[in-house]
Amino acid sequence: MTDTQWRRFEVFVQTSEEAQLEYAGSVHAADFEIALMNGRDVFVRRPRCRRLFVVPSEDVLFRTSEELLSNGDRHQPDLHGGPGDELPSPYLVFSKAGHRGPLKCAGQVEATSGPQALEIAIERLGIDRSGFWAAVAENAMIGNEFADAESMFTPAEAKSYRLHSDFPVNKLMREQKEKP
Amino acid sequence: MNPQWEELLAEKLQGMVDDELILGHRDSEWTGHAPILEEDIAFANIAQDEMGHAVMWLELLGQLSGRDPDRLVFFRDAGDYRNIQMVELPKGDWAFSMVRQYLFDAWETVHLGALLKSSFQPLRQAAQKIIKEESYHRRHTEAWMRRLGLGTEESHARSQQAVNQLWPYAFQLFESGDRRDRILVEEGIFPDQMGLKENWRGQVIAFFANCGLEIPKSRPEAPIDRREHTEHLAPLLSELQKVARLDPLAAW
Repeated sequence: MTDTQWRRFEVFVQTSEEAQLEYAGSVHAADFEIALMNGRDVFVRRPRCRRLFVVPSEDVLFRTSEELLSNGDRHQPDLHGGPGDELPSPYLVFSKAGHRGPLKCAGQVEATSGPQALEIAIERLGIDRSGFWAAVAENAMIGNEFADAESMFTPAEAKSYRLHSDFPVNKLMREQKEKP
Repeated sequence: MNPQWEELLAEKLQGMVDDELILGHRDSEWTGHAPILEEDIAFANIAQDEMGHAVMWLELLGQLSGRDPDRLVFFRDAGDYRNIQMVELPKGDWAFSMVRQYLFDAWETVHLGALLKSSFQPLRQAAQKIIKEESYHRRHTEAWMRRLGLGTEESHARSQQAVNQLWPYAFQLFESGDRRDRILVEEGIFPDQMGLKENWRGQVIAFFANCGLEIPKSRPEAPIDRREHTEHLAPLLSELQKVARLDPLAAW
């Protein structure tokens, strides 16, 4: 069967000047420009955002702690450099300890592959192997143009978004039913 | 304040409210039907933004005329609506909705740009708020237009067809027929529409050329009054107003 889906991109957001980059989720798009717009529309229409990045999914490696502990990556041929002995390139490493909250950027390392980037990061940063991990080839990331930030992110700041608890539907329904 | 220009401005605002409201409703009809999920969300956002702009103009209109926004939206019949016909046409295929949105967005950015210089402060302030959002809408629809126009043979053919159909309708954005409009222009309250039209036309033709699309020769035979509507508006309103009219006294 033919896959009619567009390419998948992973979306990363920076919520303020000081904040670490966070993983938001993924979108489908035909190209980078549409990926950035879809990332904006799906993930940052309401919450605050300073900068948005997208990267093709194939340039991101996701790992759970189980996968890291099983050491399966050590047997990957590209872990210590492929046959061509590729030059190291920058990777951003993301992690989170538990199920809650987003994967946050823990730092940058130079590596020849995603698995190697995770290994180096874990050794260098001294973080334990629990939780969730991602390694992103930084050269494959595309961020929004600074000039576009105002139209992409500013309108959201002036708006409030309501939680479902702001709409007391159950209470109102009960009152209606209790009416004689 | 001069009551005469207040009344004229209220008429202009009513047109702006109705354009945004009806276009927002038509756009919202794509919810659940857009080409992909991400676009479904994006276009529903745009629909909601257009409704939000309608609310901003409605509030200003309410201040000028003392009329209740909810009554204006939910209890006016088609004959009292003042939107242009382009926005009430059925949503058509995706190319049709994108071309319509582009023509409207291009007009709105030009129009809002001029309103930023209005001598009437509330208009200026509202325009400042809306224009940021609108420039994003325009980027979004331009991105789609380029891909549809330059994409496949079919996407190109459908886009060209939509341009041919919509082009004559778009001119209604700039028509007024009311000679008293001069007063608003002279007071610096509302921009001269003819000046905007040339600006808009130049931008649209250049952009369409970049998308491989041509402007048709056909032009409207005579200016269409904003009081005239197609047969498509009444069914749209009956859906839009249905719930509010079920219980006219309900508090929302």
